[in-house]
Amino acid sequence: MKGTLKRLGVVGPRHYHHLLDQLQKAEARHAKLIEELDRARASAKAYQSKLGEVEKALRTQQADAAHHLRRAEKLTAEVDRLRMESRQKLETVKRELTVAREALMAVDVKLDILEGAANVLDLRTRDVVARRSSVTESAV
Amino acid sequence: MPSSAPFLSIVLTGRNDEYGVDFRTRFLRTLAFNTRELAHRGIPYEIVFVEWAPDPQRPLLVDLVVDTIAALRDTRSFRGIVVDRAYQDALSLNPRLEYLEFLAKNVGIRRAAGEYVLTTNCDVFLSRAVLDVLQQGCLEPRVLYRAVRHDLKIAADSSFVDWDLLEDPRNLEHPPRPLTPPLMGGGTGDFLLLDRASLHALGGFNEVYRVARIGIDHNFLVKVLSDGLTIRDIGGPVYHLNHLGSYRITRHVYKGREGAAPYGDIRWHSRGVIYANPPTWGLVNAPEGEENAHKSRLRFSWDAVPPLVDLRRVVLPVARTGAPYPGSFAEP
Repeated sequence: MKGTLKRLGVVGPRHYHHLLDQLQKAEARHAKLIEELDRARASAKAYQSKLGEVEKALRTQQADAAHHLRRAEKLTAEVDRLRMESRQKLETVKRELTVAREALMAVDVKLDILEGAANVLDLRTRDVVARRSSVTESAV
Repeated sequence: MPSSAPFLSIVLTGRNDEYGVDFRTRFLRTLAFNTRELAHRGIPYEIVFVEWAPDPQRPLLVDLVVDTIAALRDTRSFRGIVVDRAYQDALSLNPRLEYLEFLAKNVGIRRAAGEYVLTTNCDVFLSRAVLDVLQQGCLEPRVLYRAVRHDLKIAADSSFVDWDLLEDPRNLEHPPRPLTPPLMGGGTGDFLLLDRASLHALGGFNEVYRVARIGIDHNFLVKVLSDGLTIRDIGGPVYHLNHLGSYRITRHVYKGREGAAPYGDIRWHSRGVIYANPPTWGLVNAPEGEENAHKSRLRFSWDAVPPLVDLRRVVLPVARTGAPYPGSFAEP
């Protein structure tokens, strides 16, 4: 009897319940996998969107970097130009300082001469005046 | 220049009032030694001695030289020029200056007849090396020759001077200051040897800045370089008879009050500013009267005296390409 029923595809209640349990488990697992797949899809989408943003940001950064590089090159050139200009100005100032010092030396020397002459003339004048006074006094 | 002109004129100057302490003894001793060595080597020379502003109460050094040193009685070897003391007062721009030494030297330079002129001091002995060069006669025109100076110790017995005394290192003070380019200064007034034509073209020592005596010799070196001449070490020393009253010894006395020094203020710009002397330099217009074969006198005349002030003649030295700049600014 059992064999006949088996051949006809009829299962026993215990086996039936076992199969039913397995089916339910498979369905639950299927539902869980579907859910995970949906989550993974959503996550992938989110990553894709993030990637786009990052790519966009990278492009912006690259453009910025290129801009800054050009600016840095410009500034370096400007600094070089200013440095050269400063050097030239320094040389000019040095030359002018030398000329000024030379002129100052010459002025110093001339002042020494003028001061010396004034002192000598002062002594001579005092001498003349003293002599005149003594002559006047003796005449009186 | 007459054909009988000597190879060398040695220009010396002094005063008969023992200026610089014991001047007469040092002068006669040095002169006797140098002239003996020059004669010994057959170097044709003349001594041109300028006696500046002598005290009329004292005997003239010029007469003393002729009386003391027989070799100089030959009129070709010795000429004495006595300069009226009125020139000292008329020329000085500094009442403290007692002796316009370089103006006195200019008087001798202007009247020197030698092919080469050595301006030196009355207490400087020539060395063998210097005499060798003079004997060989291998001097070049437009080259100013300088010599390092050894100072003989004051304690050294210089009553009899010979090579043993001069060349014994125990008699010498500290090592001499080396001559360093470009100016080769140091004891400058003790040895300046140049051909007469160049020396006359330069116009001698500075007669415009008559405020100081100190530094005038150094100032001459600056002018020499500025005028494109060369300064060279002659290759041997001279020996200076150190003495009380010398600049080396007295300079410390005036530290901090340099303006009061009897030789003028050392801080003047002798390295930075030069001069163009008037054509009358060396008192060329002074009336000169010959008293005898050895002695002439420069009588006083205002015609010979340059203006008290002639500021156009104060000039800056020329910096020559390839050569170091001769002058430098010295902070006062």
